[in-house]
Amino acid sequence: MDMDRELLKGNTPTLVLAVLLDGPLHGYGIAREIERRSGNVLRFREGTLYPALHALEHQGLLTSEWQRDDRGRDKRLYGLTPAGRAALAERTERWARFTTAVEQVLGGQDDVESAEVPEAGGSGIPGSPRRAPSF
Amino acid sequence: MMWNRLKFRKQAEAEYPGAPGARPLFEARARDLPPGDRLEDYLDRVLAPLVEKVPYDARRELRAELRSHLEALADAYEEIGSTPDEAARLAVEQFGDPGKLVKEWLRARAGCAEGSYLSPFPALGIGLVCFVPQTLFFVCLPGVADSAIALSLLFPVLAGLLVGVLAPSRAAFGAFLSAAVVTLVTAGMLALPSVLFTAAGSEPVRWYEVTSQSPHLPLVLLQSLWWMPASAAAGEVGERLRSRIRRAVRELLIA
Repeated sequence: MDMDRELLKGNTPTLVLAVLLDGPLHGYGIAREIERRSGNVLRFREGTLYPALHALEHQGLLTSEWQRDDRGRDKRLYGLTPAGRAALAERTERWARFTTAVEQVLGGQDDVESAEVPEAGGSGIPGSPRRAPSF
Repeated sequence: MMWNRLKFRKQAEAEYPGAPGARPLFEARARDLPPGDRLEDYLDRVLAPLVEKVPYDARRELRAELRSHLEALADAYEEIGSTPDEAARLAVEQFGDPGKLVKEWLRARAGCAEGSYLSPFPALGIGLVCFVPQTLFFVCLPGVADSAIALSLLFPVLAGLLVGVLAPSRAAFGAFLSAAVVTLVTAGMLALPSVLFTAAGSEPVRWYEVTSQSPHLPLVLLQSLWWMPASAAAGEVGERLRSRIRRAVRELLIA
């Protein structure tokens, strides 16, 4: 299954924060962990991971340090900062709200929201469903 | 030159029927590289556009990081049965287009507004706004220059900090450049009296006798020896100060 690249790209920072919650990882490890957790559904061009990683580090959400592995290769390990944990909690909550709303729309559960939608928000077209006013 | 371009195009078309231009020639060259060189070639293509835009240390760090990832990918492909050549090719493919990667990386850096490697002109503008009134003050009121020079030792530090905080894009370079511009202008003014004196046609006076008595001389010395280096260093400090303040504010807001 090939997921929409743009959708994946927009959510890469959140995925990175999520996989780092269990402990520090390097770029290769982060890519493998995202693949593993998603059952090989979320696969992306791995170079695109680095702009996201470096931006998160500049924002103070990640911290990094260089380590040498048993093969003598230098690897940069990334870990979450306290601000990163807080940002992950906030993003997770926002994502949950978003997916719930999308599922409700896709599932046609208009009775859930209809009680909160004001009467004046209708499109005015006879027979069209009521909708919330656009902002 | 034109003949060479036509020759390359003919070669490319012979090797890749229907392919336009010289691009297939480059691909053919990359295809023939040994596995290790293929990874290095990919890294060269990522890093090349960053020369002159990103400091050497940052480029070296990025290269080392990408190389370790590419090597790990190639090793993983070899473990599941690929030949070294095939593994290197698959690793590079999985990494994606180097041009897109470097553009996204630069965009992410610029979006952070710290250490962004874009135009130095905003910093130059703010530096000039700081330095030009100060220079005019000295030039217009030469009588107070001696006593005010001591105070002006502090001035480039404040100006550099202001540049770093307000325009972090290449702040040190911008602050240095603005101090250099006002120094050049003042040095030009220093030479002006001797030019006028010679043009008047009166008794010959050596230019350095005039300039050494000029009230602008201490100012030029001050600008070139202190304003330029001090403002550049303060610009760098201001840029880091700004990023720390932003980070602290962001952490405070998230908390």
